[in-house]
Amino acid sequence: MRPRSSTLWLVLEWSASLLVAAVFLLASVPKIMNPAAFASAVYQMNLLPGVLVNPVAIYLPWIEFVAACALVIAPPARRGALALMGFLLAAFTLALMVNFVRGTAMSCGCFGGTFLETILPSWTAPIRNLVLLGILCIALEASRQRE
Amino acid sequence: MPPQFAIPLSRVESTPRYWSAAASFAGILVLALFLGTLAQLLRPVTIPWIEDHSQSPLAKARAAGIDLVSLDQAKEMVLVGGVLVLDARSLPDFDAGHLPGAVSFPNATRGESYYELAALLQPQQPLLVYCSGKTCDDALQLALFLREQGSLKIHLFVDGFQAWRQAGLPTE
Repeated sequence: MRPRSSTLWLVLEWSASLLVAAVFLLASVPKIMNPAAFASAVYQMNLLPGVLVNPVAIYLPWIEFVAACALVIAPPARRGALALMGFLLAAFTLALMVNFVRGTAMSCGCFGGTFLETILPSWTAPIRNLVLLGILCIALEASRQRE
Repeated sequence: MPPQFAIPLSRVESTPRYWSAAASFAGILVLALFLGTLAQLLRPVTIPWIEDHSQSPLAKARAAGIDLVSLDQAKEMVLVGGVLVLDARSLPDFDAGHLPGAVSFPNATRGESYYELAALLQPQQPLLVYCSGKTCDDALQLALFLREQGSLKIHLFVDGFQAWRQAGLPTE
């Protein structure tokens, strides 16, 4: 029984990690390619002091990118990457919900303004983040179970 | 009798695991900061480290109390209808592609265009104004002009034509 269960956790860990990594890669690359558009989206959220808008637009996509890469190519760093991504997802969800409550006219900017943002209406973005957070927790739990 | 530990053995065993996760967490941050800085220094065209966004069209529109609409809201308005869509870009840009049903109303020649379209511009007529994107000023200038002329229901589509096209939405 033990090896079979271990295999199941392994499959769960890898599939959940690959899914989360793919979403983060798709989100980060357009923002890295076009920091001006992302800076504008960050500004539009109206949550940060002006002085922090561009530094966040410069570094945040790289954090997403490196965390996504670490998740796939560096399994020993997986838990740190998952924890970091979980923290980012929670922060993004909070930011989106604050703006939703405020009624701010904004596209979430989550995928750097590419068509991926329009597949689902923007009000579903916090729900999508929470689903992703759930998948991330599955990866974390699977990683813990395999020990 | 088994030995008694002040800290449960299970917690002692799991501590390195947390340290390892914390080290990975910090390592990813450091590497990302390094790559971000490198990209910022090596890129031929990039954004400044610090920028005054308060003079952007978006900030000015917000300060002027113009109603801002997102891509989703603009899409719904265009699909539902009942709103007059005004393209504030130049005529060549308009001819190259515009939102479905949009009317060309170049901000540069807004006086002439207003004269031509006066019959359509009743105060209660909902208007959706746009230009090329978040950084262009034309739609905001046109919205302010139309408000001065008495239009009461002006919506500014902040993301503009660029976002509309990137989203794969239909154009004419």
